[in-house]
Amino acid sequence: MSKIRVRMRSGECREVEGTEGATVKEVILAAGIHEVHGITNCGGCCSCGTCHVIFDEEVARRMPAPEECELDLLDIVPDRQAGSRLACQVRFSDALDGALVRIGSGE
Amino acid sequence: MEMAASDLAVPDNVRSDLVVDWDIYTEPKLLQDVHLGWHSLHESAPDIFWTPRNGGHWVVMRYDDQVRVLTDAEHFSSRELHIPPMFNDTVMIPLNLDPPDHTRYRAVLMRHFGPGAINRMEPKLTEWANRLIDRVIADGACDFTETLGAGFPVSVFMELAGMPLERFEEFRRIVLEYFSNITPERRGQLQDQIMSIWRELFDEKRRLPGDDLTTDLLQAEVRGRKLTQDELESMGFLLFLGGLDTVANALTFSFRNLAQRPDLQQRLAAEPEKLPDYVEESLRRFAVVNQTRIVKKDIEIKGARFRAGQMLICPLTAAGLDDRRNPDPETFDIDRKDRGHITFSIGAHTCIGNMLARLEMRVFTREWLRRVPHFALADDDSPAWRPGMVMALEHLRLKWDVPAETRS
Repeated sequence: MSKIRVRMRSGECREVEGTEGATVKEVILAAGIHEVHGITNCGGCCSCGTCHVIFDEEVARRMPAPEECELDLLDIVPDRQAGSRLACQVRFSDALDGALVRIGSGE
Repeated sequence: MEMAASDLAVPDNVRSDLVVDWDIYTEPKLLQDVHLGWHSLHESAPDIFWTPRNGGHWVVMRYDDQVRVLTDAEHFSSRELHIPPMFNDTVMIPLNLDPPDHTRYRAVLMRHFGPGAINRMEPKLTEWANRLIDRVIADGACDFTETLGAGFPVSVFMELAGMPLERFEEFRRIVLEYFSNITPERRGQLQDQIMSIWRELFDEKRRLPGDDLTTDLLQAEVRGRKLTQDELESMGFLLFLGGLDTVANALTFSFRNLAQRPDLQQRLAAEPEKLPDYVEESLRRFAVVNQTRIVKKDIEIKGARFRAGQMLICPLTAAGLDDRRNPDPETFDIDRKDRGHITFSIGAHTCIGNMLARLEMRVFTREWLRRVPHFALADDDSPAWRPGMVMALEHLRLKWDVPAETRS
């Protein structure tokens, strides 16, 4: 089973098992890490931008590129970086095995 | 309203065992208590049913089904949002749009309503709350709904938007009538009025830019271009409806409950760290908005055959009061585990002001209890509920002992 490493806002890092085809947000939530969507939550349909996560740039490059609506929301994330994505829009796959994902600041 | 039998005809795609006669505006159970009125259908009606009233529409009663409908923009569209439907040509942005068109406009507004921007507003909210409490505290009584329930969030919103505060009462009158039981024609006239208010406001801010949301919208860019006049006006329309009524109702509902719970008044004053849980429980137990959609593509759920062009309503209060999601749903319990509510809706149209609304409720409750530790319903208070798409309590008469330092 493939795993990703999730770095929380506290700096603590946890290894989380993923399910092929689930979104990265679902994978992180299933591991009991709730800070990935804070208090607001559009339900994972690319509308609130609160599930911002950051992958290493090199990992992000290997993933399918974000659609326009995801880019619209990433535009307003204050701590956006080259590897920024919305966790609800990224599908988990074996290709992500061992990747590190940081939870965005939630600002 | 008396109706001819032909007006209450049921379309042939609707199974006869799924028909319930229910008027979202005039049903006596709603006039008695909007929340428990909707909740009563959990026992007496199918999970999804059809009512022939108000042009005929579906009603989706359960939390899980509402989530499914509201997150499925492929079958359920926001193009028409009124019950009874208005079917006018005006497309309100971003309210009437479905993803992905919707998202770019939402992103423009998110800059102002995201967690960072909202948290920075806390000192200003505290100041407004106290300014308004100052106006009534020495009286020992007030009608909460307009003076504070609306007074607080509406003042905050008008300042945020850069609207002239002296037009407070005029704007409130328009929005109150908009959500009352009126004809589609009258609602159309009010829409025009709201649009012309924004036309004026944008003109003024072009001449005299301010440090406000309206000025920022004029300067905002969407994918490399400025917003057009139509886009600006319809975004303004959404802000007008969202900003001038909904939090007011949520706050008033919550205060009606708190006025009857001296134990909770005491506990929240002693444990202000429980305020976020208190606010969430209030939102769950006393929701405000009933979300509407128009069916875009035929689909069947639980035997209900939704046909393209038909309207549906998700009374969000019925999601919070669904006993399959929240056991013992009538009980107000700030310690409730795994609370579930979609009072700000869910999906692409989740209330953009939800963080502001939550902070406003926390700040106002905190400041009120700090200054008025004990308060109750006035003896002559009898609830005047306004059912419909956005539910309200038209009056809430409160009384309290005037604190010594404010007596003159």
